[in-house]
Amino acid sequence: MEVIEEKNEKALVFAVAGRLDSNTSPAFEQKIMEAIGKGEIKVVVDFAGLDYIASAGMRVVLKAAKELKQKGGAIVLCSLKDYVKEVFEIAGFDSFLPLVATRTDALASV
Amino acid sequence: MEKTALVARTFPNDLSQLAGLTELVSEAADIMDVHQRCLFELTLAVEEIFTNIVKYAFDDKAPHTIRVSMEKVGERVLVTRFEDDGKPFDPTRAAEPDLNLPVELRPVGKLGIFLVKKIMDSMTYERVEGKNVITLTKTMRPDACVLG
Repeated sequence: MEVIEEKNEKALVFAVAGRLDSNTSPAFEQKIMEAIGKGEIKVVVDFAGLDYIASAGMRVVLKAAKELKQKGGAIVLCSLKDYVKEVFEIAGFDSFLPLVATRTDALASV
Repeated sequence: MEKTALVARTFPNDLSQLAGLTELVSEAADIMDVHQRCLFELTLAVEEIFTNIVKYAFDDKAPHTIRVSMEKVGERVLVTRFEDDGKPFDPTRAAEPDLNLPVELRPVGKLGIFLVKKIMDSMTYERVEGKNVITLTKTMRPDACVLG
């Protein structure tokens, strides 16, 4: 798993690649929660390079979404592979989490 | 129906073992010539159960092992069996998350077992001679896949 942080004028973008499983998700959790703790309230997670996600990875996204909701911020996910997107849909995350096609769409909507 | 043992391995109860577990799943999938779409959800289900055992089955710090074995039943049904000597825990009776709750009320957790139930054809639990035995069954055909 690899996470690249990019500060954009509209949001903080996390490009996550590889596998978000129960072994690797804590490292992503630390990065995203630390950024939110420092005051970032607009977050985009770009999953273009993400090959695999387990519930541990989804839990990090949920935790960040809860924290951002409380702070009046927002989180948008983009560029998900079909099967990754479907896992989020099965878990009902699409009711509170925008899953958009491209990073450009994400930055426009966050 | 005819049963054929495919792969079996015993892992220490540590999440660092996920890479080896994924390899084991891929080996079984290769033997059965499983479609890529099915491989993702099979890997997901197997990893969720393994993770659940590592996180919740053991109260002590002593090393334990988890045995994972896979067999083919008939032509396309894959049965995955997990055995551990942890405390009794029946994941089939785990509470399901309420998917209709707003984000602020959604509990962080409980998702793994829920996903397994959604993805697999069946999940069963038995307590046998002091061991937890969890069995996942899934037909490995693209049209039987939930994801992808």
